Amino acid sequence: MKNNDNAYHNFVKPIVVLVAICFVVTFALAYVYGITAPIIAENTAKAANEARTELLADAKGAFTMYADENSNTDKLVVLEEKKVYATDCYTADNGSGMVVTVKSNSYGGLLTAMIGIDKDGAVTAVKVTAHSDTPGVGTKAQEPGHLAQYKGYNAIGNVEIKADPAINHVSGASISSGAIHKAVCCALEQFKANGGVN
Amino acid sequence: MENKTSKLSILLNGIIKENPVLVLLLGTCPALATSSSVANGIGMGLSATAVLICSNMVISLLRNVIPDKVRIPCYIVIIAGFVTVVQFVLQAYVPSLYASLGLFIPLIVVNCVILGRAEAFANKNTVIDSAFDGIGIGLGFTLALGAMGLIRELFGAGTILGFTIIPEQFTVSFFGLAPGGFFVYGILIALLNAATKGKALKAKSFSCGVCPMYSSCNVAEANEEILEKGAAK
Amino acid sequence: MVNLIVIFMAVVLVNNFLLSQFLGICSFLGVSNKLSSSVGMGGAVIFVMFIAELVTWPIQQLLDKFEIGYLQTVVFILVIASLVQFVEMFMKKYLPALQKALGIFLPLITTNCAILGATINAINYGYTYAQSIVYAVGAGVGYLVAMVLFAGVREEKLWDDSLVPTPFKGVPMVLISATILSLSFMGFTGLFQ
Repeated sequence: MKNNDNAYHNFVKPIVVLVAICFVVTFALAYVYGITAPIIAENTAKAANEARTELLADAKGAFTMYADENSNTDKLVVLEEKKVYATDCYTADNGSGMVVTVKSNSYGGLLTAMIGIDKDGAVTAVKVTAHSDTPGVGTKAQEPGHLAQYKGYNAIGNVEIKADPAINHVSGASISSGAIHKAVCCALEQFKANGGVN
Repeated sequence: MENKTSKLSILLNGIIKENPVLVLLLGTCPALATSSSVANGIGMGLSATAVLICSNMVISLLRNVIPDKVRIPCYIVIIAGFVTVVQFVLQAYVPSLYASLGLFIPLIVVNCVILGRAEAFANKNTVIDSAFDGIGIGLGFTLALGAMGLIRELFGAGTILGFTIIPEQFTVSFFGLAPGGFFVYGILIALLNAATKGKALKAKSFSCGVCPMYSSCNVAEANEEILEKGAAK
Repeated sequence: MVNLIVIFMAVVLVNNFLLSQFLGICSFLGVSNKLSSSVGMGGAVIFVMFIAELVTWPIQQLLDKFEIGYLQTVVFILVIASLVQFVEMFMKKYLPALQKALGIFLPLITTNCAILGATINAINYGYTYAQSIVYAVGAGVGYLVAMVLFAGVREEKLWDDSLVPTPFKGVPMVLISATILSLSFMGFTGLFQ
């Protein structure tokens, strides 16, 4: 009898209590997640829309989704398999242009860039929105001075930045500036694939 | 009446006498990492306070149910649950703070202040006392982070809560960067030492004694062993 | 391959966990008073980082598959804590020599934010399995490097304690020397452009 008691206190009770706590915590989290998830999604969508407006002011903040990772995925351009590809594309409601989000392989993983393109197929602005590493690594090519070169860029000279006469590559930052260049090229390809803005 | 004073003393104890960051030297990681501005420091402090109060209360409530053997895993799961809730709330209602604190929100789980209070206070005291302890320690943590944030933001960026105080050409960016964190922390402890004539800091050097894992950890033993060997030589 | 080397070097030098990201500071200040314990702790961190990453990355894929990614924090910390326990038991039984060298530091590592930080970071950065493991090992190596350097500074007694103003004796002086070490690591910023 005493032995049974020991077994209960040594093994059964700890396991039961720990498992019970895990269950309660999991259900509580699922409940809170259910409440906050829609708000978080709304925030994210709002922030993305603001970023698009920043890149293409002419659209006046009104965009329609053309394709993203959940729908019309086959319409997204892949420049290099798993290395340079568009993840979403939004067109301006007033036909002033489109904004394409591209992931491109840089230092330490993929960087995410958003590229605004006007109705004539010329780049309006480029912004690097997420970088796979903390500051200090591969950030030189993200400086506004370098990215400003792309304003008005409308025809791909060469997907390799060093072979493209229209853009000066950042010396000593060839990998990250090359990744951004490819992202811009991918966005222009996406514009072509869409057949421009209707 | 007497009961009330003891609640107050629990509260004040955490803010001043046992300030987790400046006196007990706990929670140094978030203290250094998130104190680059006042808003971040206070945001981090309040998030940790919320987790601390909740976890203290729940752990105190369950102190007779949780078997001693699995107490640490149980505490960790409870704390992790509350941290995730705080994470959702911040992400939903204060997304800018969520973005700037980033990784350090989930890392509240391993903040030694919280696990330390669970071990040292909540599992021995009543729910109400534990809640007061949580508030006191949490406020002490917030205050210390806010003070560090104030110094680092003022000298590093010339602003307080975003308002410019010192013109940009007179700021020293060093304070906002990683080394500035260590520096300001050191100076603050030295100031506290000077103000209390060395009474505040009982432990003269960093020791493992304050760590919540101390009881289950063998580093102290190993250190003693090394010392003994040295003495034998 | 270039990617992997860059990830490794960047996390060792540029984004050193202890000196620029403030992950694992408690142990950095607590254990670094002796060179021997610094090396032991560093070795244990590399080891646990590696196995933790080995396990948590697939788990995250599983969580994502069932759309319960929000349980990340709870699951990771629980997995790391039990993993450390298992490893300790395993080492005690089959690898007593390794257990003697690293084992004593293992329990301390469960609540070391560097481990949880590395595993969550690898997920947030969207690393592949190989990249995550290289990142975790690099973070551990960076930890070891910083620990050993700092233990060297503290053991050398580079300053005369009698000349230090009283309020600065002890902890503040340790933090000021950490400042200088951290400052010197800032020189690596911009290593990869």
